Order: sequence, then C-alpha cells, then structure tokens
Amino acid sequence: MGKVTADISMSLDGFIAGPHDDRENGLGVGGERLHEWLYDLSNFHERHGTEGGVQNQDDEVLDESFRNVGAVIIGRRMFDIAEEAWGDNPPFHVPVHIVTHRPRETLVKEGGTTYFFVTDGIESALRQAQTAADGKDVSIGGANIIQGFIKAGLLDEIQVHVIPVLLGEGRPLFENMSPDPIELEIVRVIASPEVTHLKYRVIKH
Amino acid sequence: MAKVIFGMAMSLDGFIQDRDGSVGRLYPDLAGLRETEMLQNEMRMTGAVVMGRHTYDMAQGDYTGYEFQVPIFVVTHDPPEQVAKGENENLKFHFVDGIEPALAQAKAAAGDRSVTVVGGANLAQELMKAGLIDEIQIGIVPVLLGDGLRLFDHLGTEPIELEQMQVFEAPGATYLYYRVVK
Repeated sequence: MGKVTADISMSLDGFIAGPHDDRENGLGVGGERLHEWLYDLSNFHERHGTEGGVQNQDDEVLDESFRNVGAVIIGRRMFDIAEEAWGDNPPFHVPVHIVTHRPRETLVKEGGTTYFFVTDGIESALRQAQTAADGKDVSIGGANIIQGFIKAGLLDEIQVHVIPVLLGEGRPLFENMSPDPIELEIVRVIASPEVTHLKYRVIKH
Repeated sequence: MAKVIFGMAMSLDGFIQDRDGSVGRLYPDLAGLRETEMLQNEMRMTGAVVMGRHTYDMAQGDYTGYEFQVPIFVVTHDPPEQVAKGENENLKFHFVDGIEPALAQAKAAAGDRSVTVVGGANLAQELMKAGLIDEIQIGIVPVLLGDGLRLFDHLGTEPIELEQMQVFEAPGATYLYYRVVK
C-alpha cells in the first residue's frame, strides 16, 4: 500500500490562500503569490497540457510530488471553487475522490481524471482512493481535508512549500486541530530562492 | 546603522507557546545549537538584545551564561525591583519604557553589530508593523501544537514581502532566514 501524502504552498505566517477565496478568485485576495513558484515549471506545464517551462530544483520537487500519486482526495469546497478552472482535461490525470455531503454523479474527464463524489466520510474516501491507487500514493488536498486526515491519524507525510511572504490574513492551513500536540519528523529540506520545501513524516501513536 | 534582526522558534502551525503558555516543546537544544556555525555566527554578530518583559521573566531571574553576552534592553513600564543574575562587564540590563526608545538605545549600543530581538510575539508584531525589522530568523520546530500563542498575528492586512536569505538544518528545528522587503 502506498503512502498518504499532502503537498501544499503556505505563507510563512501559515496561510494557503488570501481572504475572500471563492469561484471568481480561487486563491483569495493576494493568494496567487503563494503559487507563483509553480507557474514556470516544466512539470506544471506538462500537467496543464501546455509546452515549455523551466527544469530546476523546484521542478524536481514537483515531479517527485506527482510521480508516485495514484489517486487524489480533496474537499467539496476546493472542488467547487476550481472545477471550472480545471476544465475538461484536469491536471490530476488520476482518479479524484471528492469528500462531500451533496451527492453527485461520477464525472469522467479527459486525460485520466475521473471525479468520484464520496458522501460517507474521509475514511471511506481513503479506502476508495487506496483501491484506485493500486499500490501508489494517495495525495490529499485542501486545508479542511488535510486537517481531518491529521486529526484522524491518517496522514503519513506532509510537504509544506513555505513562501517568503507574510499575508497577514487568509485561509490558515492549520486550524481547528486536535488538543494534543502532533509530533513530526523532518524528512528533507530543499531551499530554493523563491520557496523552501519542508517535508515531514507524521509520527503516529 | 545597526541592523535589527528578529529571531524566534515556532511550531510548524505557527505557535510560540502551547495552550498552557509553556515553551517547553519549542525550547531549543541549546547545547547542540551552540556547536553550530549558525549560532556561533549569530553570537558574534549581535551587539545588543531587545526583549519584551514576559520574555525577560521567562528566564526566572537568572541569565548566567546567556548566549548573548551583550547589553540587553527590556521593554517594560515596570522595571523589576531586583535585576536578574548573570550581569557582567558585557551583559548589562537596561529597562526601557517604550519600544522605540528601547530600540534606539539598543542600536546605539550595538555599534556596527546587529540588534537581535528575541521576543515575544507582541514586541515582534509591533516592530514588524512599524517596519523596524530588517531580517527575520524563524526556527520551525517539527510539531503541530494545535493551539497557543500565535507568532504572526495582528499584522494587518497588507502583505509583507520577504526575501529568502539562508536555510539551516539545526538540531531540533529548521531555521529560515529572510530579509524584510521595504
């Protein structure tokens, strides 16, 4: 069985999007700043079906994050905000399981992405995603889903891409967490001029 | 003019104290850190220290062997009756009413070395908002505390751009050094 991983860009003060994130402005006011490091990378272009891009250390980090992912789990909020932007050929290219209270029919998209709507919780979503991943990793996304997985002890690794900015307000990555501290173990640090990639293993008890 | 450097350790989720006000889990492995080039360099480069009153009190009145053997400026309205132990010809305490006067005195004392602000959160936030910090050094400790005192809070709504300088992997934390873009 593969690992359960999360990969997310965060400002030094802990935000993954600016304030007022919605369908019109998926990353909120000023939140685009957090994803700027991605847009020129070769692997980013490839996954979005465009040509070109640079190959550097950050591109290798991105490649490593995608390479072993066999399925994805995200929350309904993130899906609703980004569904249109992701279009007919979404950048996942693997099955995507969306945790939601509102059922919707499975949607088969181009390029290997299928959207499955899971209405019976994150553990069920994880079982379905692990079956779909067939031995590869399951990557989870969105602050709520990441918080839920950490609290339930279901996350194995988290890589935080720390962006050199203090946003001051926005959507925090870590909130509503458990009352007990959760220990991590640093796996790897890669520093680039525009971003620091911190990969941690979650210690489980 | 002396540079002003702010440095603190925080959990990956941004806290500098846990919900009970304890810094235990975030307290650095000082013996290990002292062996590092990073802290050696910081000790050499620091000409004066500024701290808040709560931070001063956390040492419980004993600064014997403190890593920064330089003048220390404590921001407080209410100087303690008895000054902490550990003063010597290099390390002297100065209790100053007000952040800006404390910083001005620290800069004068530091000469061509830097002023290191060691906490706490309120002092750092006030100095950040006033644009008085030149560099920040954050030690990210591999733990999620879940709740407690947040370091970067009340900073206002205008983003503050940073420029990444260096990253150090030290015992117990990853240190990220940034320049504040003004």
